Amino acid sequence: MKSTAIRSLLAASRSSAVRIVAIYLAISVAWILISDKLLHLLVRDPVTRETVSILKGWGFVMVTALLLYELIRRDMAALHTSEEKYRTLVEAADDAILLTDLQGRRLFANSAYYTGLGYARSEDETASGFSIVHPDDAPAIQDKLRELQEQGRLTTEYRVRHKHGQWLYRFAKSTLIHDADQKPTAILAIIRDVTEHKRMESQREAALEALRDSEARFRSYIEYAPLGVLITDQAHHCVEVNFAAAKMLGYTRAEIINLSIPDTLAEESLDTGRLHFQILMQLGSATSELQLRCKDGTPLWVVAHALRLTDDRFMTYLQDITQRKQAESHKEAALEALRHNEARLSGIISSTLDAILSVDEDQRILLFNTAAEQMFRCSAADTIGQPLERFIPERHRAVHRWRLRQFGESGVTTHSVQRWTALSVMRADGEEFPIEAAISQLQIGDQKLFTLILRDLTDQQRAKSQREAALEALRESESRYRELVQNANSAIIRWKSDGRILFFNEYAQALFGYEADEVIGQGVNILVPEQDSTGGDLTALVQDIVEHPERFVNNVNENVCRDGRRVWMAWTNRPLRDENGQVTEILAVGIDITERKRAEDALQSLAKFPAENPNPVLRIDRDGRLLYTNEAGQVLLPDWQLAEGQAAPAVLQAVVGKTLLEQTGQIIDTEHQHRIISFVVAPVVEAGYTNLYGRDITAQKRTELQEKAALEALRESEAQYRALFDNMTEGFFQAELIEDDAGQAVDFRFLDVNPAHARIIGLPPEAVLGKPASELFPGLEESWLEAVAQVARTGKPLVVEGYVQVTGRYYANSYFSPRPGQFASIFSDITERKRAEEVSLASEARLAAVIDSAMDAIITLDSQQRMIMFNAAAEKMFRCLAAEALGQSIDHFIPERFRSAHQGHIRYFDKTGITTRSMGQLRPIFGLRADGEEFPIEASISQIVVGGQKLFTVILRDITARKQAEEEIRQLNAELEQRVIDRTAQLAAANQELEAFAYSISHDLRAPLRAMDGFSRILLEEHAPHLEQEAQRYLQMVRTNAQHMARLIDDLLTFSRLGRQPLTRQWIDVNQLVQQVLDELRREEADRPIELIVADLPACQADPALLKQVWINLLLNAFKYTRRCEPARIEIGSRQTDGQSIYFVQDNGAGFDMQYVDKLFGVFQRLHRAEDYEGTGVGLAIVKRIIERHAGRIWAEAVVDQGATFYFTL
Amino acid sequence: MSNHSVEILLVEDNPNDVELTLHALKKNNISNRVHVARDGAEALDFLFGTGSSPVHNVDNVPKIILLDLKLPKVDGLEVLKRVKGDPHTRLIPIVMLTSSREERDVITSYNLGVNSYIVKPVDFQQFTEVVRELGLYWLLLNQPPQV
Repeated sequence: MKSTAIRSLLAASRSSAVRIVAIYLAISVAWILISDKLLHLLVRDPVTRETVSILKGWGFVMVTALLLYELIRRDMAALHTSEEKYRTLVEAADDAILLTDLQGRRLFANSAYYTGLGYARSEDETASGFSIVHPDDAPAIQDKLRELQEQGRLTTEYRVRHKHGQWLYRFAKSTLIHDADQKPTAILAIIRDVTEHKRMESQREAALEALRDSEARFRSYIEYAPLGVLITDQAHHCVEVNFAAAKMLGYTRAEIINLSIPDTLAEESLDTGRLHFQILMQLGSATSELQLRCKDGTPLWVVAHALRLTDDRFMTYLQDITQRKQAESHKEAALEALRHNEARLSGIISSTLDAILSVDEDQRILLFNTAAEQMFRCSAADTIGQPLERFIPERHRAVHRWRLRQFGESGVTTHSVQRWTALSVMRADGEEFPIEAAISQLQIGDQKLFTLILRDLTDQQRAKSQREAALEALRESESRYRELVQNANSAIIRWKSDGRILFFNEYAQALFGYEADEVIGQGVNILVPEQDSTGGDLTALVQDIVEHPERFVNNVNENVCRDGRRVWMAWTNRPLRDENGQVTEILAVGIDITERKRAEDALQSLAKFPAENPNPVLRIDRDGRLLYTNEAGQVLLPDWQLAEGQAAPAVLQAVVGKTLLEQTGQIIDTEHQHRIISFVVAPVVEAGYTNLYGRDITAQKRTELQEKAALEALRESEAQYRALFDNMTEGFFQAELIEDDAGQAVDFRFLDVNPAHARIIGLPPEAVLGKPASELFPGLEESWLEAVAQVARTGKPLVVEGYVQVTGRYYANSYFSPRPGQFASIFSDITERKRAEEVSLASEARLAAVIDSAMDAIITLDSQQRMIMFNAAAEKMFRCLAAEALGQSIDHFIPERFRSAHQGHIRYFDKTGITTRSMGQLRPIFGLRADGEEFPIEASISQIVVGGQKLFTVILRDITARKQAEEEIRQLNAELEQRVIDRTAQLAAANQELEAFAYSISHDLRAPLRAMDGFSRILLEEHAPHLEQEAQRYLQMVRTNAQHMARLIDDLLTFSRLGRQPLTRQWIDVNQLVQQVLDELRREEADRPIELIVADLPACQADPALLKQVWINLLLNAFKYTRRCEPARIEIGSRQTDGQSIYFVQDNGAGFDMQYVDKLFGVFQRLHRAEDYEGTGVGLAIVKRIIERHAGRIWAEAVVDQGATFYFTL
Repeated sequence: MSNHSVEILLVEDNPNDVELTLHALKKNNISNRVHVARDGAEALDFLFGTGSSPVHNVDNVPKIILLDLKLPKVDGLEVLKRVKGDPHTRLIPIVMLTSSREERDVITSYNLGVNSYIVKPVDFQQFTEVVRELGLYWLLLNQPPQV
């Protein structure tokens, strides 16, 4: 019974004092009950009994005293332990613990309270009362104090002033403390400093807000931008699209989900598309120009720029370039058409041999056509770039320069033609020749060109090659890029796959503390610590980036600076690959995020709580048994179904395992049921247990998790959009309008730009952001400002191409308004395209100028015979303005009776497929002027197919003048013929007279001679005896002269007869003829030794009798003039020159003086005296006449006394 | 005088030539009777008796006619044509004795039926030779057809 009572007492007692008293009472009762009985049993002797009783009494007193002592000692020890325990808890707590009276006056405060306010404990007085509470919060605290007395506990938030003046946010949990009589005596407040938390909170809120804002902004860009954005899965099926993408492809947004993008590829882009997706899968990004098919089948040209977002998400943005492609192809086609025209023109015109030259203002030749090549006998290659003056004779150069300048200054506009006549120019070989030149001037850009048409037109020179222009632009862009990279607000490092640094921009130099010279060539490892501050191993980081760059596209890691300082960096690593896909270099762009990291870490820290606080506090011994729990902790215990002394839950046991007891300040979060409790582990080593200060952070955690998830989503979304904007090739900017007081837009300010903007515009973002446009681009056109203001106000998008004076470049801008009063633009630099277009246009303009200055009418017809080009010459020819002619049928200009035939011709020509042919060769064709006049034309027609449409070009020449001229010539010819007939008749009459004269000469002149000779002879023969010797000699002289006279007459008659006799040409064996003549002559000169050399002579076609006369006369001369030579030598031969036989007779006779050679073949001309060599002086004249009648030539060479050679051809 | 004695009719307007011809004939011993007509008309009159010519007998034909080409009144070719065109005189040999070397004269003459065409050389010696040969041939060697 007793033991039960003791047990129950023990069980009931909770304090050692009670236990001790209970033990004492039990022992006392036991002593009283047992001692008397034992005394009666053991001691019979009453005295002894008395003595023992007295001794018993003293013993009892002593035991009681001992008990009391023990009781007191124990109580003191317990007090000490308790105090120690509280002190540990109170002083170790991070939270300030404050004990006040009911009026809020401080009774006690722990050290955290003082340090939190920046005071030392000794400065107690200064930190008393409400003096440090924010005046705005003091009344609330007073209210709270009253409230507390009613409710027993509550929480307050208020502000207090730190010693250094700044306001701190405080969160206090207050508990009313009662005395034994349940009377409230004091207030216990556990105060936590939430300033940092507040600050973090507000910072996070701000950051979140900014992120949300940024995300929203990007989202709005995406939603409203004319760029199509597609998010696709690994199978390239659409998961998400923006409005523009759906619209572009002609689907609704719902329809497009799950659409397979490769299926939309147009046939001709299938291969490119396949490659595009392959590259995307392997490298993580790809950009291609693709042709897609819209829902309705229409083709759509896009630039598709795709990026890998996650392992199974890809983002592609599409830019519609259909118009550009069409424009390009149209331009190409137009150019092609022009080329055709040009080729055709040159073909047609080349026959006229007109030369065309273009020169610039410095008179350097830019263009030199084939006809010009022929004209100037000099190739174009040798001429282009040369001054025009090389073709102008020196004496004309000054005049030419003056004329060209005059013309240039005259302002006579494009296409106008000024004619200069009787101009003299010079071929490359120095030969001068007169030309008729037409000149026109043309302004292309700021360059003035002169085109000279020397009687005709043709080839156009290709302008400066587009490639060169592109290269130039590339160089510009390169240098701009370089500048941008150097000045970037991020660290930019380029390193080789072996780790060596190639490039280290200025920001990186400043950040890491290295000079560029020091690090270039070094391993990038010098920037990477072996271990980061969280214990992560970074030794293989560089190698990993090279091997798996796709995993490190966005990587956050710690780096080490030159001075050993650690910095946390967010890197974007871009691999650069060679043609085999091997990574050769890494381009790393990094941002310093150390500050952010620190802030994050700080967020993680949690405060500790003392035991007597509303949060759970547990004590666990080293064996893992629960020793203690406070009231708040009790709440947890039922869930864990645990009582004191039992083993704590495994999760807590693990924390307080033996090894962990050595550590302090570790924080563990335990998820229990639906609560999350954060415990601060505070081991009390000497006591052999560990205190756990818990805090229910369930709500906070949940919010945090939610926030984190939301933030993560937001961040991801933002990153996606940012990636898009950072990577897109088009420039982007957002700007807000700046209005004057009247609400008129006067300027705009840049709010946001993407990297491409900096690249394209050449200004880094920091130079642009927040700046008004008027400052960056002074002199912006007002009309342009109006246009963008319109976009910002109405929200109506605008797509324009334009030239910006300030940058000197062309841009294609797509404006839209993401929110009222603002506008954004997606733009690209199209300068190259524009320049190429300009070159094309210039070439076109030049061609047009040539076509327009062509003297022939040039008309282009479409397949319906409608006129689509009508040049200036056509206007003049048909007396109809191009504006009126264009679109009309060509029938307009064809006389009615020819129309159907003309259509037939065109149809036939269409079928033949012949590219060019001339018309009107079979029968004359006619044109019809607008005023109804018909006129003859000469035409050529050509056909080409441009953009699927067949075009015909007709080149017409008004041949009215020529026809008139021809008519005139015909009339003149007729007149001439008549005149010839008349003249012939007159001539015939004259001839007859001449003949009569010759007749009478031959008849009548000879008669007297005969009489003179005859009678002289009779006198000499029959009357000689009567005549003296002298008289007979005179008579003989009369006879000689009469006979000479007769010979003269005969020769003269022969000579005159030669002109009248008809030729009878036939093949003659010249060898035989010559032999015959020689035989006759030799007979007469048989007594003289003559060396005759006769070569084999070729046959010829001639009149036999006349040719014989030639040989007779020539050989006779040879014989005659060698009469005095010893030996005489005569050579007869021939030689071949240019397929012609030249016969010659050479002698070694008297010869003649070459200065009289002109007279040699004249009638009655003699070079020797009659007494030396007889003759009439007609022989060679006869020879010459015969030769000439055979269309041959005769000439002679001679040296006096050395002989003569006579050559002739037939 | 008998018409039969007339053997040569010389038609020549140039007296020098007449004398030289006669001289040459005489020198070559052609003593036949020579009648000289001084122009074409006289020659025709002599042959056809239509004018003042003392000879009227158509049958009285000369053995040979030496005819100059260029004659006053009626030229030699005309005379030739008449003589050769008349059946009675057609067979009288006619020798053209002229200064003309003109081809067409030669051809025309032959076409009209002249028997011989001789260009009078300026050289008298040659001329004499020619006359001699003429006389020999036509008067002595030639056998005229029997009419």
